[in-house]
Amino acid sequence: MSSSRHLGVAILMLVLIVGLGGLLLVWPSYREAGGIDLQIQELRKKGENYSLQSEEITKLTTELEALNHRIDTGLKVIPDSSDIAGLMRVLSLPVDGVHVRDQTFTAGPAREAVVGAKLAAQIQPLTVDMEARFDAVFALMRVAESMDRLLRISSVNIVCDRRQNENQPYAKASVVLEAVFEPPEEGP
Amino acid sequence: MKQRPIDLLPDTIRARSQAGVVAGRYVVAVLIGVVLLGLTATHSRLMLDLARQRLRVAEEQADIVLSAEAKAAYLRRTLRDSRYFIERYELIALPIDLSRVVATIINVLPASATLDRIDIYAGVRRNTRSSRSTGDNDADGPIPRVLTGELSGFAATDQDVAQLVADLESLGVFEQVSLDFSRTRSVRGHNAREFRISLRSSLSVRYEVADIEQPAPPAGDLERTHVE
Repeated sequence: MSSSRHLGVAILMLVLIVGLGGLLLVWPSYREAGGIDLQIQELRKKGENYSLQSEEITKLTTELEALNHRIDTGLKVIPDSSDIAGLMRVLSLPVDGVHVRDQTFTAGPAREAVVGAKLAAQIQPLTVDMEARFDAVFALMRVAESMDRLLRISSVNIVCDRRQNENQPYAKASVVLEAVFEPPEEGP
Repeated sequence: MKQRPIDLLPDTIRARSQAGVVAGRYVVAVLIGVVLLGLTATHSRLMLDLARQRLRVAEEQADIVLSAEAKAAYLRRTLRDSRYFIERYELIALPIDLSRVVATIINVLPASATLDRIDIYAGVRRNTRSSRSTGDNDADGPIPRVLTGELSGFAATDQDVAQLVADLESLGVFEQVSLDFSRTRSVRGHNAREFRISLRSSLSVRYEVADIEQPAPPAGDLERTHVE
């Protein structure tokens, strides 16, 4: 074998060794580093909006606190049952023959709370018929509307009865209350 | 005198010597290649380590951003739920207590006026939809609610009746206040004016309740109500 051929083989071997070494040792590291750089760029892009997000979080928190405050202070509870018996217990007045001569509670069937609104909430009407002084009728209305739970008075009908005592007449009143409730959703 | 070089080295020795030189060059070349390869590999490892360090820092920062994103998403969801609850509540609840409406009416009664009858109704407009058709027209949405009322009673003069109507109108609670009739009626042997007043208002508006400073009427804690 001539010396020039020796030289060619040697150079070829050297190139092969260096190439193989680079492929196994160098290239994977550079490739992984390149991938990591791309990841870093993506993460930094996300981080660019951080200050905007902080502002948004502050704004949302403030808004949510205001809404929660409004819910806590201005809105009443909607229970999951009408609890007509509990209502009657609260609204029942002593029939003493002086302030209250008669009081009758009549419950009606439950129906949707808002006609056509497709809400889960329902109402159960409770009609309170009374023969009493106006003060007692009015007090009953105030008690009903001051309760913690949501209760609507849908109608009031008060007729003054002067037949027995013209100076201090009694009122024949019919107050229709609507106990709002929201039955819990049935499971699957 | 010209001298001629004399080469006494045998050919075999010369050839071996030349081969050794060539082999030495090969070894040097291989060594250089290996060193270069080693340097490059070391550099690549260093670059990789540096990139990993930067990635750790970026991930820590990204974690903060992601947690902020998650918090913002949670707040948006909670806010949406709260708004929905309030909207639903306002749809269900009446914007004004009927006891306040009654109290307001009584507050504006002139001293000479007496009410015989109070009828107040708060709810959906009557006769707008029959009970049979309620299930079929759900797509129409909630029916607007109204506040309607009728007051019947008597007063000393027509001026008192007119004053009552004017006062009810000026309250701003009712959109329509109309006097249905006023006619003569005898009360305890005296001539009085019997009247009936109709009231109507929308319950789609928002009401604001304001306390007034005046002696409380017999019914107790009464307040006047204004439309916002």
